[in-house]
Amino acid sequence: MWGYIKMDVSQYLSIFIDETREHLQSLNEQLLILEKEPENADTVNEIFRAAHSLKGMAGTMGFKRMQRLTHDMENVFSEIRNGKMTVKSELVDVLFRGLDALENYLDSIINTQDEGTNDNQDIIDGLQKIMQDGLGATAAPAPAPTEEKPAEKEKKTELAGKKLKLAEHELKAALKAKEQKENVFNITVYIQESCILKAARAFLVFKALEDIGDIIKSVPEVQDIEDEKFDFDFSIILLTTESLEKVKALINNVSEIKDAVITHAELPDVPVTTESAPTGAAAAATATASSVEVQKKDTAKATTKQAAKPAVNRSVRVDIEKLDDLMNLVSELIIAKNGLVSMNGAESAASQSGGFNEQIEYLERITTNLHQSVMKVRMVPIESVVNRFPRMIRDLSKKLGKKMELYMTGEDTELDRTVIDEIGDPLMHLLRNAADHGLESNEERVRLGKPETGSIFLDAYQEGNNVVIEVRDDGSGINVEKVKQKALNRGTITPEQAEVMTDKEIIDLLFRPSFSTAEQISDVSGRGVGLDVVKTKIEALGGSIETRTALGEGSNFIIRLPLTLAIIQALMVELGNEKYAIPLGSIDIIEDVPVEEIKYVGNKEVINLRGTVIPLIRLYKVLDVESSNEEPESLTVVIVKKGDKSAGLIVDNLIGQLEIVIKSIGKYINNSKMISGATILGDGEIALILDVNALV
Amino acid sequence: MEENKREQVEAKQYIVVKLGNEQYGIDIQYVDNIVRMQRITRVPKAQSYFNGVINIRGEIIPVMSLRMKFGLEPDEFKNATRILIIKIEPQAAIGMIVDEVKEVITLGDESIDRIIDTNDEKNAYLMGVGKLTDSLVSLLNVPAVVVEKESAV
Repeated sequence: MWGYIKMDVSQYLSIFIDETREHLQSLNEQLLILEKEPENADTVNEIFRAAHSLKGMAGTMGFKRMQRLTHDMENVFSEIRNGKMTVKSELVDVLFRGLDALENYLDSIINTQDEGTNDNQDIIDGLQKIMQDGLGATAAPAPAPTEEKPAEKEKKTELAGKKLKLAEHELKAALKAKEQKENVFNITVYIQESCILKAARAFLVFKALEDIGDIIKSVPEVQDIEDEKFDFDFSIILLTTESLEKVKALINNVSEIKDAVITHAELPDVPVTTESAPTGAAAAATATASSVEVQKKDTAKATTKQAAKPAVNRSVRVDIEKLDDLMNLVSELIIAKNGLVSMNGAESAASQSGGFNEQIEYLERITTNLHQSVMKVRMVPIESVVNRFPRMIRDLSKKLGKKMELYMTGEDTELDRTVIDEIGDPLMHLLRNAADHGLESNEERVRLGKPETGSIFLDAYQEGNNVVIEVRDDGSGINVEKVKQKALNRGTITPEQAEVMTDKEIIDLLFRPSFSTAEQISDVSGRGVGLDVVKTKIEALGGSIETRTALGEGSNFIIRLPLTLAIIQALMVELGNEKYAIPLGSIDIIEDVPVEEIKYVGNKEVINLRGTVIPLIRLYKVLDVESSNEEPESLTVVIVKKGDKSAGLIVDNLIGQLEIVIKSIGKYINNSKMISGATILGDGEIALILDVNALV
Repeated sequence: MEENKREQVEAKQYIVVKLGNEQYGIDIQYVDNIVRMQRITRVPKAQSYFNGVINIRGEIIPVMSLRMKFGLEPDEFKNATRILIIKIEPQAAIGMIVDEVKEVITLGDESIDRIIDTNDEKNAYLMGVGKLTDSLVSLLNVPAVVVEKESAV
C-alpha cells in the first residue's frame, strides 16, 4: 500500500501564531499613539511595517481572508505614509475593527488551524471607502493580492511537464483509481524564481490538492520538498475525481506559482478483464486494499483532527540564564545524591550520623533553590495581560461618551503563568466597572470641580509573598447608603441586619451573586454578573479582593495574589488520627487557651485574645472527625485570618511546619469548599489541605 | 479467515470482579491498574460512597466503594480486596473497591444481552449481561458509574 503524502504545517504554525500576536499587539499600541498624534511619522512607519509583515505571513500560510484584510489595511497605511491621506478618527475606528477581525482569525486558527469563513467584507469596504474619500475619486479600489500574477504567465509555453516513472505499487494504485473513473494527473509545478519560501508554497499546493484527491507520488520526495531541497519545480501524481481545469485553477490560486503543467498520466494499457475478473486472490487483494484505504483515510483524518487540538501549546519564554541556573542546581543535586550513596558504603557509624545530617542539609538547600528557580521559570510579567487594556479603555471611552485615561504602573511585576492566564478577565471586569459605574459623566465631573477627564489606575507591585494589583478610579466612589437600600429592597438583608452592618460589610454585599448597583443596565457592565465572578475567580487562584472607597473621591479594588501556587509552606496539624495542612500564609498566631477562658456569645464559642473577640471553630465537628477523648484542660487554637476577619481553629495536636506540594483531589469526589487540595507526606500518606477562606 | 477477523474486532475483554455473590465485568480499556487495598485518607463531606483518596505513585486518586454505590452492605476489607484504578479521561483517574478480581474474559457481541429496562436504578449502571458457559456477568457501564448524575445530588 502507498502512504498518503502529507506535509507538516505545525512547525510553521506556532511561529506564525506567536509572531502574529506580537504584530497585532504592536499594531494596537501604535494605533493608540497614532490616534493621539496623527502626524507622528515614526508611528505610521512602524504600523506600515507591522501590517506588511502580517500580510506576508498570512499569505505564506495560505490564510487568504486574513491576507486580504491586512492587504487593504496596509494600503491605507501606505497612503498615509506617502502623505496622501490624513488620519481621521473614523479611520482609526475602522482600523481597530480590522484588528479585532484579525484577532478573530487568529483565534480561529489557534483552535482549528483554519481561519474560518468570515470575509469581514464590511471592514474591507469601509477601508476602501475611506481611501476613496481620502484620495478623491481618482483612486482605484485596492486590487486583491491574488490578481498580481497574470504577467508571470507569459513563459507558459516553455515549460514542459516531466513524466514520472511509477513504481509497481504506485502503478497499481493509479490503475485502480482509473478503474474507478478517477483521473490520474501528472502535474509539474513551477515556482517563481523570486519566491523566498519555496517549501511553504509547495506545501500550499499539496494542501490544496489533498483536499480534492490523493497524491501518490512526488518527485522529489515530500521530505526533501519540506526541507527546500528542490529547485523551482516539483512533480506529483494526483488521483482525483476533479477535472483538469479545476486542478489547474487550484494550483494557480497559490501565489508565487509560475505555472503548473498538467497532463493525464500515461498508464500502460492493462486489459480490463484481468483486473475485474473475480479470480480469487486478486479480487480479495483489491477488496482488502480498498478497505484498508478507507481505514487509512479515516485514521489520517483522525490524526489531523487530533493534531489540530494542541495546535498551540501553552508556552513560556525562558531566559537562558534561568535555565543555566536550573542546570547547575540539578548537577548539585546529583552530587548530593552521590554523597549519600558513598555514605551508604561507609563503615564508621559515628562519622556517618554527623555526615548524614550534613548531607540532608545540603540537599535541603539545593531543593529550596531548585524550587525557587523553577518558580522563576514559570513567572511571566503581568504585562502580557494588561497591555490590551489601554485599547479597551479607549473603546469604552468612545462607547460611553466619557473622557478617561488609563495609567498603568508595575507592568513588569511577575506572576505565575497559571495566574496570569486567569487574571485577565477579573481585571477587565474591574476596569469596565470603574469606567462605567466609577467615573461620573464629564459634565458631572466639571460641576464637581474635578478634571473633566476621568482617571483609572492599574498598579501592580510585589508585597512579601503576594502580588498586589490595584484598580483605582477617581470617580464617585461607592455610595454605601445606596447599596444598603438596594440590599434591603432586594431582601438580601433585613432592616435589623442593616442597622448593625459596618460600611465594609455592606460593600461586601456587592460581591454577592446578582447584585448590581447600576440603575441602568448598559452593555458595558451592570448585568449583575460582575463582582461575584471576579471574587470567585480570584479566590480560586488563592487570592483575595478588598475594596476601599471614599464617597466622591473614588474607589479602589485591591487584589492580592500568592506568588506561587504549586508549593506552599503549611502547618501540619492532627485531628483525631487524621492529618491536615493549614497554609502558613493565613495563620496569624497559635495559642494555648485554657478551657475556662471560652466564653459564649449568642450560643457561639469565642475567646477574648488581648482585647479582640475571636470566634472558635471546632474543626473535628466541621470535618466529622471522630473525636478521640474528652476535653483536655487547655486547647490548642490556631488563629487564622482572612482579610481582617479572624477565627480560632481548635486542633488536637501540632505536628510542625512543612513545605508541601499542592495536588488536586480530582473532580469526581464531591469537594466541600473546606478542602482546597491534598498533599503527599514523606511517608506516602495523604494529608488534606484546609481552605481557611471557606472556614472563616 | 475473514470471519475470524471480524469476530476479533467485535469481541471485547472484560475484567471480572466479585461484589458479594455477584460478578461484574469491567471493560478492560478503562482499567489502568489494579492495586491492593491500602490506607485511604477520608475526605470530609464527600459523597457517602467515596471512601477517600489514595496515593498511587504521587498521584492523588479518589476511591469509591462499588458496594456503597450499588446499595450493598459496606465493604469488609480482606486479603482479596482490590482497588481498580479506572481512567476514563487521561487526567482523571478514579479507584473502585471490589471484593475480588477474578479473571479476564473475552466476550463477543453475540454473547451479551443488552438491558433495555432502565427503570431499576441499579440497571442504569449496567450496559448488559454477558453469558459465560456456566455463569452470568453483569457488565458495568463504567462512565455512568463514575459520573455523578446531576439529579442525584
